[in-house]
Amino acid sequence: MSGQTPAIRVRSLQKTFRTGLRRRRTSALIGLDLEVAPGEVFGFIGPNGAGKTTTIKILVGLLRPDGGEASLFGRPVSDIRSRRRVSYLPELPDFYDYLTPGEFLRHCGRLSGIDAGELKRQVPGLLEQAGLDANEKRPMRKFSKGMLQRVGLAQAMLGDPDLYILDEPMGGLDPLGRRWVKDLIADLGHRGKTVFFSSHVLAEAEAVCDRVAFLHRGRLLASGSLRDVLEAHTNAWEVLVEGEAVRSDESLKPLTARLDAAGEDTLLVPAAERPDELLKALLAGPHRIRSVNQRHASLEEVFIRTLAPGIEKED
Amino acid sequence: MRAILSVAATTFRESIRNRTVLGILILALGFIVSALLLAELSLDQRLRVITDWGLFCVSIFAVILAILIGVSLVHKEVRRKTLYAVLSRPIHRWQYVVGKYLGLALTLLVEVGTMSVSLILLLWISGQPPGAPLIMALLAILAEILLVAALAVFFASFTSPYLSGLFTLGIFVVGRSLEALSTLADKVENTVLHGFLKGLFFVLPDFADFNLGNRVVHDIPIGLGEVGWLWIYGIGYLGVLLFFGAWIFSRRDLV
Repeated sequence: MSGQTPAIRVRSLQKTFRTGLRRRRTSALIGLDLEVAPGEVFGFIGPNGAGKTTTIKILVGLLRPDGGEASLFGRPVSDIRSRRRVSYLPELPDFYDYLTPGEFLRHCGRLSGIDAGELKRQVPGLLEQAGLDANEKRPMRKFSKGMLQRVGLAQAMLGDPDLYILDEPMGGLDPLGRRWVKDLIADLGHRGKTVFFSSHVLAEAEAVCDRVAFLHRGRLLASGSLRDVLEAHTNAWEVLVEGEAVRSDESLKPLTARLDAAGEDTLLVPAAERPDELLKALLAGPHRIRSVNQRHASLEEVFIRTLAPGIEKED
Repeated sequence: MRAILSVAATTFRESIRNRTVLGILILALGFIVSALLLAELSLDQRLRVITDWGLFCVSIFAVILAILIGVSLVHKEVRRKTLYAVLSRPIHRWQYVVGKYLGLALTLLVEVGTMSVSLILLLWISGQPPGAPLIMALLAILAEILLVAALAVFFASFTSPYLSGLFTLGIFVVGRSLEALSTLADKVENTVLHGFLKGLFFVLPDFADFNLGNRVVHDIPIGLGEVGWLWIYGIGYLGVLLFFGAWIFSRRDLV
């Protein structure tokens, strides 16, 4: 990372919650380290309960960490000035029942210090961009989850901030809405904005991220540029075989036993090896090879593979 | 200041448009007008019955509204994550608490004002233009309600709506009979319990002082200075409550 002040910097971050009648301690974050450079689109990936939302809430001042440091553009998150250039979309938000989206956006804008004239100019444009202009006069209690998500994204865009912290931005949206968010994140990235978002929709995250981090049970499992992360798990040879199930062929067991499989008729040879020996053995036997391809891992596959050792250890 | 006013305006808009609040206000107006029926049952006490019943209705419905809106204000916003989009902006949490309170106070001012105007009109129609004591009693009710609302916001800053409502209502009821509490404390022999009851007597707000209905009914004059002192007492007390409410809320994790 260059000498630029990071947009987000997290060092040894810890957070513990006390739950239940016995006030049992549950660690949500265990010494988390993270750095996001200005202009990056950063995907924060993890299963439910990984600590993504806890991290995000600490960054925007909703939770106080038990230990460690967190800063936005060099200012500690305990200083409200750290949030001047920042916007936040909560996960599955719900807003005021009796307010219209325009009234809510103006309220948020005033809290961010945007003057009345600027709000008058920005709000109609944002409502239109979010596809809410036809519902401008309706109270938000009549809105669907997807429409509320759009209001949430519109309020996040107020004042054109430098850092967007989005918690599950595609949650509650239909395919068209998800496409809109994906394009929006990509556009923000092209405009040099920093986007830090958590997501369960990994295929769509993969399409827009520059860097990713995998979080599990409050610990960072891996992080890096999307290309590096995918290449570390890519280029396996996928050998698709016709006929009877190849994995049950005893004569091939010495070769196939250690290989991953993607179904009864597909064998995956690690990228570091060549499939020549396997192909020779298959051709010598009753099997017919349908295809041999280099297989590129998806972010979802990488995520599951990265998570698997941790889950096995817990079991 | 702009942040506080924006939170206050939003709270006011949201509360005043709330259908439950509107329903309670309509019910309150119905109860106030029902004074005409009660008055018909009385002998030569028509105006006294209207005044007494009317002031009682204004006071009790204002307390219900203050507790109902006050205790749900913060909790509802945390539960629905509305608060997250607000507090993630560059504002202090104390600004949010103060803004919420001011919005609630403005809502109650409109609600109490509407009920008061309806009572005054009722008396006017019945042949008695409102006198200064009635206006003073209504002003005292308003001061009382602002204090009840501050109690509700204080408890709502750290407990659930049910507990906040229970605590606020409990303090209001005990605060209306503080003299009885003091008498009880004097009769108790156990020193710990005596000290506890005396402590409550000194700490809890004296809501009985705000209840001037009997004096209006019995034509006992009420001075402007007296009501002025009630307002100063109420504002001082609610200031302390808001200070501690904001202090606690600033330290709270919004899980």
